[in-house]
Amino acid sequence: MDYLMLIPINIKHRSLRSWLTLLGIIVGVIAIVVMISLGDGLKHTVTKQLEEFGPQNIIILPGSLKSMIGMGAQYRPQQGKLYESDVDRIQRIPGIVFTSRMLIVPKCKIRYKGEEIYMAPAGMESNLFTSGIMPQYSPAKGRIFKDNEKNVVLIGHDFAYNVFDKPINVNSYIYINDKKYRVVGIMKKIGGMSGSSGDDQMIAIPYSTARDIVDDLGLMGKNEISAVYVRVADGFDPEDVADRIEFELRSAHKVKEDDFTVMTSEYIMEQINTILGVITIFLGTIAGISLLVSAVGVSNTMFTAVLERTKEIGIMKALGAKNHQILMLFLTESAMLCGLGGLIGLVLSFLLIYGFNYVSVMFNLGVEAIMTPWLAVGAFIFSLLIGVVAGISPAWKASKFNPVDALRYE
Amino acid sequence: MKPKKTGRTKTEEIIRLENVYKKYVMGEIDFYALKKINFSINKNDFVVILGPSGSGKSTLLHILGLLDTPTEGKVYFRGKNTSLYTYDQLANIRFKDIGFVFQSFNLVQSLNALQNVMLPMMFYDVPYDVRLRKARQLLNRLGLSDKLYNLPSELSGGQQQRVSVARALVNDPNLILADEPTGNLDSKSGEEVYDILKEIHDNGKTVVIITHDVNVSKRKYVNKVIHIRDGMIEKIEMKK
Repeated sequence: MDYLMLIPINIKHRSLRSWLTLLGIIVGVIAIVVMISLGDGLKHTVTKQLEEFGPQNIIILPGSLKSMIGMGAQYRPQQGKLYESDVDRIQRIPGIVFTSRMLIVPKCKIRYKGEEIYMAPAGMESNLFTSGIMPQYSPAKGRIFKDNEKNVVLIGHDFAYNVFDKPINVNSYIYINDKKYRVVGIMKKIGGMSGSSGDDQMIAIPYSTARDIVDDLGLMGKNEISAVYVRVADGFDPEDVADRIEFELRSAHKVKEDDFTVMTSEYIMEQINTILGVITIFLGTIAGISLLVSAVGVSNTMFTAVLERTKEIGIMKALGAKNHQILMLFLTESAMLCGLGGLIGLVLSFLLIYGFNYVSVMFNLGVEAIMTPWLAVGAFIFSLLIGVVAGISPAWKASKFNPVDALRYE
Repeated sequence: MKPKKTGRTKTEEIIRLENVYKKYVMGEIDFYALKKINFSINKNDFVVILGPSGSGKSTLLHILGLLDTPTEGKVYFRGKNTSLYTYDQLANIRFKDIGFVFQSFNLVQSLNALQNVMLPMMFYDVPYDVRLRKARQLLNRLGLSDKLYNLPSELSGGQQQRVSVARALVNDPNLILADEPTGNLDSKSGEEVYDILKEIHDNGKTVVIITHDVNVSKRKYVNKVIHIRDGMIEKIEMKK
């Protein structure tokens, strides 16, 4: 196989034109590698966040999200509502430690030291905070409110320090719809995908308080709630419990199509995987087309090379080179050329990913692209394969040259 | 290099052509480049195949070099019918037993002198150090010790032809086929090439030169002149 040592010399002598055909391979490899790295990073982040969310937790939301996620689905969420009576039913399901209701009060006027904004405070039950269902939700200063307390509020880190010109402290007073509330606690910063989790801007009031506001203003139906958190006991499969909840809610709501969404961590993961799958197929198709086009380009440049080196092939055959050796020579050259394109693509991908991660950390985006070694190896082998496929036809042609004709070629 | 005692026997045959025809089909016309060719070349012959351009002498060289096969007739190499050989076996014989010297040198332009001489051995996995040693020795012997790393484009015609001769000799073949070896050279360089070919012959090798130049056949070391015209042998002239 010593004759393969000729390949680096041949590649070195190649024209600019053949290098340009590698652009397609480079772009294709970058597209694939960056896409998969981003997907992996996103999955990693989501998985981590779901772990924090906890596999034993279930969230029930009114309306069905199922019809809006997935390939080809129209944005057509099924309308629906949740009621306190639903929660009573759910509580009777075995394997549930506790439930925690949530009631969002739409559009309240919030005033602090003369500044006014509009936000939606969340009415929450204290067990969500105290039970350890979400360990990251704990106060940095002050305490969690009690369920029967009146006129108290618990705020997120960013709400305390970034929303108003003047920072809010524990025991400061803020006004919600012109009523005075005392800040009893400020939560720890949570952070997240966008640098600041929505929950860092939260303003939470006891559920009973929120109920009163909503009922007084007639903002929602009687006993209607916004969401329910369910804690599944250890040893129970949250999926089984979720099925049971769905069954109960279906019979309570007397509907054929679900008008609620029961989210387990598995459900969320599935939805995210579906979305990532769609993106992957889309970008993968683009990358695939790019690689296909470049394979044709490489094939073309190899045909040119075979033609340009016709005489050389004749000389080598006259000197004793065998057909299969000429075949291997050109096939390997094509593979190495594409492999080189693949390597360049990998280096550029690495730089792009490094740059993205740098920016991600700088702006606290919470997502880091992950380029695994197997991905790099896979992309490299893939580019070699493209070279082989693109080189088969030209190499075959070269190997079949009649030496006499090839020697006469000028 | 000093002439060896070869102790040649006139009967040791290298190659023999029997009733060889080479036909090319051009549209509806059959064109015979070679017709009814019969001759043999023995070990340590110095043969000149003489003929004007278009006489079929290049076709004859290709058949002698096992690069091409006759349409009819048989070619025996060392007594064996070459039509029974596979393509790879023919390549093997070309590598081991035949050295080519071409009018236009036919060096690989992207390889330097040393690499060009090593080229044939690369296809037969001759170890690198052996390749290097043989190529160096030959190039040194042919007076190119200071041009080892020059590309063909950096060499004069005479130097290129000497590289080509070195490449032909690198496997120590028995048969050297030279196709108008001095056709592209000035007379001084041409004379140098003939001196080298004579030296090779003195060392017991068989040399076949194809030329249109009648003066070549008059050299005293030539022992057989095959006159060819219109694809047929006009006469075979034995000398000495």
